Amino acid sequence: LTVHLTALGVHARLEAHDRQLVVVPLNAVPDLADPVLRAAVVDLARSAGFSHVSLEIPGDEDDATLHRDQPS
Amino acid sequence: MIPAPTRLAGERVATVCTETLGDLAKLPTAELLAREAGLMSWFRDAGSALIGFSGGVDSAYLACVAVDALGADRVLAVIGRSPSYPMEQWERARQIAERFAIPVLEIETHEMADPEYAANPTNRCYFCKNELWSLLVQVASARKLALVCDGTNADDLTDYRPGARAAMERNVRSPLAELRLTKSEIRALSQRRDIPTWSVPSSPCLSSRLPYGTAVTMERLAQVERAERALRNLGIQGDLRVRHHGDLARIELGKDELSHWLLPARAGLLQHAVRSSGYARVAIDLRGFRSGSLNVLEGVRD
Repeated sequence: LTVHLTALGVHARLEAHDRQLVVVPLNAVPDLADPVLRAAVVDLARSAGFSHVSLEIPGDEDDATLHRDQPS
Repeated sequence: MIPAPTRLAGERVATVCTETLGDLAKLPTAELLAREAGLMSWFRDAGSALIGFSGGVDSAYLACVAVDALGADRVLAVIGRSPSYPMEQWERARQIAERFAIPVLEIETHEMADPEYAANPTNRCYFCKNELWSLLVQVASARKLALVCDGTNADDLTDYRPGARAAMERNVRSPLAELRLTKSEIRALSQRRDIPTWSVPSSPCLSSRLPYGTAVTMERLAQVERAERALRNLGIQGDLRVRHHGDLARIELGKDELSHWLLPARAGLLQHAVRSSGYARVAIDLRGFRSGSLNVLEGVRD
């Protein structure tokens, strides 16, 4: 899946959480505002068995107020 | 005497209601008005009614019609307040009640104190509604109101709604569903009455943002509510959910707004708003808003 996404120009690390895929950009956030590219990414993820696919938007890592919650 | 419905509780999802505002114009006006006349008649036959009132599209319309049909002295709309009930929705409920002269009573519900609810099983809604309806039935009895009604509509019958079982067990009636009024029809009829909820996105309780099995806590509900409010403050008006996955917030946006907010510069605004609400990580769902999408993850529906 990573190889196919790279071929689409989406350079990312992939996190799988059960049926949920999180696309974590390696550098610049890919422009998935383009519905054609977005549909291609979604189709790839779905064909790999994921029901959900989301794009992580990286942020500043120095925010000390963040809440670290874990499902119980 | 109003005949009892043959079946109100759909157990499994066949389809997902994907009504859009664009559907409104397709509905014949005469047929719509005939259905509303049927609803007025239903209430007159009942004589009086208590309505579970959330301030959402369905219960707002139902309460307005009930007051029209019966008069304010034979209707009581009851708001059940708890940490899972969004403040924004409470404010809207109060505004509608004031504008349309709907008598309102507010009660506190305590579903959070029920371990079976707090554990967040796939039938969580049953325990919430069981608490709500048990209280509302008592209120109706004390006030000598003939029926307790909810805003379940015809579309809801095909959705996964374990809360419907609690309603059936308490003999709560669902006139909108019984008269086969769909969400689109309710929106169209609400628009004709100038009820502001006609164009408001559906908004189930905040607990629906937590995956099944993730304990429902006040802290998590407050975190979700803060994040959604921060996103609304950016100007998002359509469907919106912040799904809580531990330290990651997954944002679901309406498909018509998705491309707009996925532009990298704008996505940064979403990211900042949600992180300010306490999430460490923020992701935007690329498929956009799907009603009950956490049901899919749990395998409750496809």
